[in-house]
Amino acid sequence: MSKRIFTSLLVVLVICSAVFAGGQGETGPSNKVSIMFQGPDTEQAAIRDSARRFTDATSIEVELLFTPHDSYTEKLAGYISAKQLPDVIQLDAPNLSNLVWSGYIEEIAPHISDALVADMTLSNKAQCTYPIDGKLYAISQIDSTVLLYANKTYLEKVGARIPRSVDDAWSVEEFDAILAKLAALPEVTWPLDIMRSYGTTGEWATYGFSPALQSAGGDLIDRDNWEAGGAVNSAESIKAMEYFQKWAQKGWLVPSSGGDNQLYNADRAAAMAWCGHWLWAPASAALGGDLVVIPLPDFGRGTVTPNGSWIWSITSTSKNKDKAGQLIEFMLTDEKFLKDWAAIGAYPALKSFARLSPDYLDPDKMAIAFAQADYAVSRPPHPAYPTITVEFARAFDAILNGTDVKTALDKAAKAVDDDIEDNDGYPPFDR
Amino acid sequence: MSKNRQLSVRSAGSKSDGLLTGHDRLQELMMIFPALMLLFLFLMLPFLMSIELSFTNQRLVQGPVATKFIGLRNYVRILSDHDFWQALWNVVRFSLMVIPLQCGFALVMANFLNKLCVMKGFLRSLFFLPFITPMVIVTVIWQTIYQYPNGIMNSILEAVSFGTLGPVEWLGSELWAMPAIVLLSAWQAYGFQMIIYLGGLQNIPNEIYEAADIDGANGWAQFRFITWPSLLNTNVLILIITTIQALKLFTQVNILTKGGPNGTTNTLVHYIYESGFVGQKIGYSAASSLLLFLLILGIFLVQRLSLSRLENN
Repeated sequence: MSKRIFTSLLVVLVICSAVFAGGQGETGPSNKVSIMFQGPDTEQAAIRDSARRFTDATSIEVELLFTPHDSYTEKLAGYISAKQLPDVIQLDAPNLSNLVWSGYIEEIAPHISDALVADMTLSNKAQCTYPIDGKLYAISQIDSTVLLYANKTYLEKVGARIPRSVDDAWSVEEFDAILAKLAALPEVTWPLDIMRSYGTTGEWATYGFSPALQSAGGDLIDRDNWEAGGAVNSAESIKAMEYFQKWAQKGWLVPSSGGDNQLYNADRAAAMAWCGHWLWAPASAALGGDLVVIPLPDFGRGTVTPNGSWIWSITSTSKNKDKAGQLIEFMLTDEKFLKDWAAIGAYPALKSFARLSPDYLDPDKMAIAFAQADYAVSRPPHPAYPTITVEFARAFDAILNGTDVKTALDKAAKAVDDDIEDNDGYPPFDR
Repeated sequence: MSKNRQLSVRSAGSKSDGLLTGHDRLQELMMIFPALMLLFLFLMLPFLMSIELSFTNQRLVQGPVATKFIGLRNYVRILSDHDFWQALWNVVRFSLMVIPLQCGFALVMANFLNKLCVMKGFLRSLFFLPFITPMVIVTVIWQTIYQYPNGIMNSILEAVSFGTLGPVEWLGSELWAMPAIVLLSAWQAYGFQMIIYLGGLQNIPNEIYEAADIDGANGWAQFRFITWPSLLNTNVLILIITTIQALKLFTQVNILTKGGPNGTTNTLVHYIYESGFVGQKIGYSAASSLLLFLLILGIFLVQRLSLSRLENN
């Protein structure tokens, strides 16, 4: 009897698997290209509209695979293990190396025009290059940068010099002295907002504050031998992080539950903000001419800004690589698409896009921000980046909360080097 | 009806023999097959796989370096990681604070609702409302309540202390971040315990209270000597459920503090999530979740044993 049961179960299983397998089928080259993307409504709309214009112009269908930002990595990992990667994927620039290293994305230059490659800013090329072979694996219309936003009235009250160019940045000693003077002003509650409300243990910590390490002469990881020990816990890195600890302990930083608008809300309780280009739109709308934009302070070796945004790649498993390239080429040269991005204050990564973004050309507005595209330092293009960022962010949070700087950075260095060891040095990065 | 009875009589009889006739057994197997299949596919299989993964260096996105067996290295790393022990301590701290608060409040509210004569249905649904609101939404609302320096919580503190206290940076201070999360968690979830208590209270026969009234027992004595002992089984259930829920704390932390400040609100589940989905170390993350599983299993067994001993006495 039990044999019969077993047989019937087996039959059910076979039928089930046949049905599921039939649903998948083989996907050969087709007149369709799929694209996976994320972002808020405005960005999604720009992508959807441009895809529609692409279909109208070429009669190639576009399958739009929107994926919410918060579960993007998990979804991508799902597509990979199901071997069903879309033709075009949007990815966060620091993850590029991990995906090229894993062999999931394709060199992009053969699939797009030379003119488009020539249109990329230096920073855009940097965020899309894989360091092992120095080739381009992605392209984007957008990028990002980090700056100081300051309330001009307060700066004038304390007699601070206002830097007017990237080379003219405050030295960190000068910046420290200005913070002290601002703290003494009765109308200023906090001299500086470093956007702790974004969560100081998330990506913002690494993105926003690893430039301080690099400006001091340290880094998250040594980019020649790919070891974190000796870089993230070097004397230079420690010196840079000690400034942040000092500012936190003096109570000069807006606390995490203070929100992200203390610079420009009605109280004007913060004098400066250390934030990405995206703060320009709301801050300038509220402060008008009272808002000045200044490069990040120089910790010893010149000011450094981070870069990186969501970039477009063609997957190596795609059966429609040419059509995928056509779609990317179409979007990035589609003037309406670029104007949609300009309208939401996106930071241009194409020279042609910059010409459509008046704020980024105006010396009284964000021209300094765009000039920084020539000075940007990408986050470490290494497959261990996911661990590097988690560990640095934890250390940064600990440092702001009073943990000994060297102890915190030593711990981060060890965790990163452990991960690299667990993966045999991520060959060929171990050379 | 008679057919039904026949069936149940027969199966009861055969069960006592420890044997089922072939037809019955097939029928039973067929009936539980879908459920078993789902449980196996989505619960047992991943669990068994994660045991295997916990001994490897598996990454979230598979790279060109083959996944390999690394023995106990993940476990050694976890057990020597200060963050893991801190997360464990935080979960214990959270449980010790949230269980009495949440269950106590639920019991008080259940008693209140049980004695109520007017607007019963309306008030019950009203007090149950936070529980059916998704935790994410509740958390975002409480985020504004805890805002510094002008949030509602700080205004209340200032008002009741006549301006002598506050403002407190609820979510950003090592001292207050965990109690702030405890308060909001208890507020969101007490409805569940309240409903179970309400059921327990309604199972207590009214005659006992009437007899107590005649004997002259006051409200407190009635609660102490009738209600509380009668709720023993309810308490057991609630204690176990609430403990397991508390050990799995994640959503509130992920939205409000991401484990900060200085790791004082980091929890085991957040630790697992961060190493697995942010740090992309699936092997490591699987090893930590197995440790959490063992912890929950251990606590559950201890609770079961001590409570059954209590019941037997």
